[in-house]
Amino acid sequence: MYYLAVEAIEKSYNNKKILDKISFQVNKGEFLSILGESGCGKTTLLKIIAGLIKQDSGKITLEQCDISNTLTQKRSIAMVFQDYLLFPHLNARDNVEFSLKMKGMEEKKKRSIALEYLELVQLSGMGDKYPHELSGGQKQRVAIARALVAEPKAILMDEPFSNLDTNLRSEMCEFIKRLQKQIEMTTIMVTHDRKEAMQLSDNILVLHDGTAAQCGTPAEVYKSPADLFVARFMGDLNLIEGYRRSGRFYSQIGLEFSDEGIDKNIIYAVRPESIGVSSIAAVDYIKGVIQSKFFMGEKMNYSVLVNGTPLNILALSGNSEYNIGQEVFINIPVECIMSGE
Amino acid sequence: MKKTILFIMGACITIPLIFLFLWSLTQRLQWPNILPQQLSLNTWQQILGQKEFILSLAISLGISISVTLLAMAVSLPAAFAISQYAFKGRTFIWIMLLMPLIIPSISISIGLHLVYLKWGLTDTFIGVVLCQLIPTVPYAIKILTSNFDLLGRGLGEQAKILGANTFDVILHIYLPNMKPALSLSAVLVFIVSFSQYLLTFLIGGGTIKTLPILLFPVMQSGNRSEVSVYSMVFILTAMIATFLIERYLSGNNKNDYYINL
Repeated sequence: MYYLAVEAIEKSYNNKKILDKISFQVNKGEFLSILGESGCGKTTLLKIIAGLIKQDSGKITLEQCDISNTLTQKRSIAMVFQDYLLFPHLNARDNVEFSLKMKGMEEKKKRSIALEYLELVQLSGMGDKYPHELSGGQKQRVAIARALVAEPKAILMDEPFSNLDTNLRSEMCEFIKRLQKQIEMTTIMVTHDRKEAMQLSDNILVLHDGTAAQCGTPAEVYKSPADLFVARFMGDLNLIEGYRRSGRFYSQIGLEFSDEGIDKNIIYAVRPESIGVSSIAAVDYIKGVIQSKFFMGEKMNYSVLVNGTPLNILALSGNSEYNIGQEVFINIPVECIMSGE
Repeated sequence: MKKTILFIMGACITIPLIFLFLWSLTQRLQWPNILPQQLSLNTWQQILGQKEFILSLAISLGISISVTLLAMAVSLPAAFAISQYAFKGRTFIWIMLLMPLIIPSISISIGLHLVYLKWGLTDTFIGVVLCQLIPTVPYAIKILTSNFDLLGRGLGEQAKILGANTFDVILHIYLPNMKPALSLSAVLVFIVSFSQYLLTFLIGGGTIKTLPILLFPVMQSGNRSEVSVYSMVFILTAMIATFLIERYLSGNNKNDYYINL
């Protein structure tokens, strides 16, 4: 049985459907990311799970108990908001103590627990600081400690890294992943950043226009996307147009491979990093010409014109570099080709 | 430039007060002198010795304190509901609550007087307190709603997630963050109530004699010294009340903090 299950959740605002029969399950200790474009209903879904928004229909179960109509404060689900929402009149320690105070815990005990959790998020000695005296990363750690101290059954995070700069974001990503594994906390995170989702998650749920487009491991969602939207959302794509005749696919760029199915025009997709590029011709290699190139740090991005069709290719910077106008040979492994329809 | 503006503003406030104070002590002032030739505490002693004056001051304070407490008790939940909840008729209720700011008191008081007559509330302390809620509550609601809006729903939602119920949210999250707004609205309500003449006169019917009711005839008498003493008492009472409200409602928080918007 699943630890947390969301079944056929629906929500509409002003007759516009925001969430349409969303279902997914999370195991105990699992990290699930809900990934989608801005405005696709991610935060609404998270707030429904937290009980801050009432769903129109559908069911949420936690440890086999139906919590669909349970009050927010009774759900035992904590949430870390995008802008942390630390209480500005309370210092870090009092912020962390808040849920314990609501439980009516005695002063001495709650103080020692709060200090313990501040230590867990590596903020020992910062308890007396007020939110306006803390940096973005420190605020987030306080918010996480405050959520964890309540010992929730699950923790929800709404775009937790969006207010952090790139370096801090990466550091906090690692910190959260480590902490989540250490305490085996069931976590659901909402994000629009696929890299964050892939780095942190055991599973990813991709939302598209209020529907669940795909749910799977990061590798599954990336390598075997359910549709073109998921494929595009998880990374850049090259679309290869062609047709299927008598069990074989033929394309304009010259790519051919065995392809069982009915005869029809068909589009396949391939990721830029899956395409091999070389200056030496070999079997199954297709000739092209470098049109443009961009240095991207660890990678080089080439645009290669292949039989009149431009293809986007990502190659490691350390390997051979090609010049604009140079003739190259590309290889598209059949196992890396995805459906583009 | 900034200092000059502050100096001019300070002078605009203090110079009239100095003159008022001097006039309250004036025994003899002959034209064309602007300063009194003889000062004495006679007028002060005479007025402060009047039983009627002390009684009216006590009634005024009693009414204003009651109005302030009642107005805050009514305005706080109303402002919370208007700011934090979306419900049908919200805009209509909001407009109705602010209506007394637009409609002149005299228009309200005639109708109100008839209703109060039926209910037996005319010429009573409670009647005056209740009628003074009409011009004061809109100010309090306006200030408190703006402050609830500024704080947003997020802090309340976060507190609920951490186990707080609606009462806890108001008590532990919103009230501590609203001390300046609470103090401002309480001061405003107190001053509006303390200086209320028309509604007190109509509903109190001369039986409930507040300080403004006593002050108006004195002003018409033309005794500058007496008017000055009344005015000084009026100003001092309002200042002391403002100080006390600020002191006990705003608190003395050394750890200044800011709301992240």
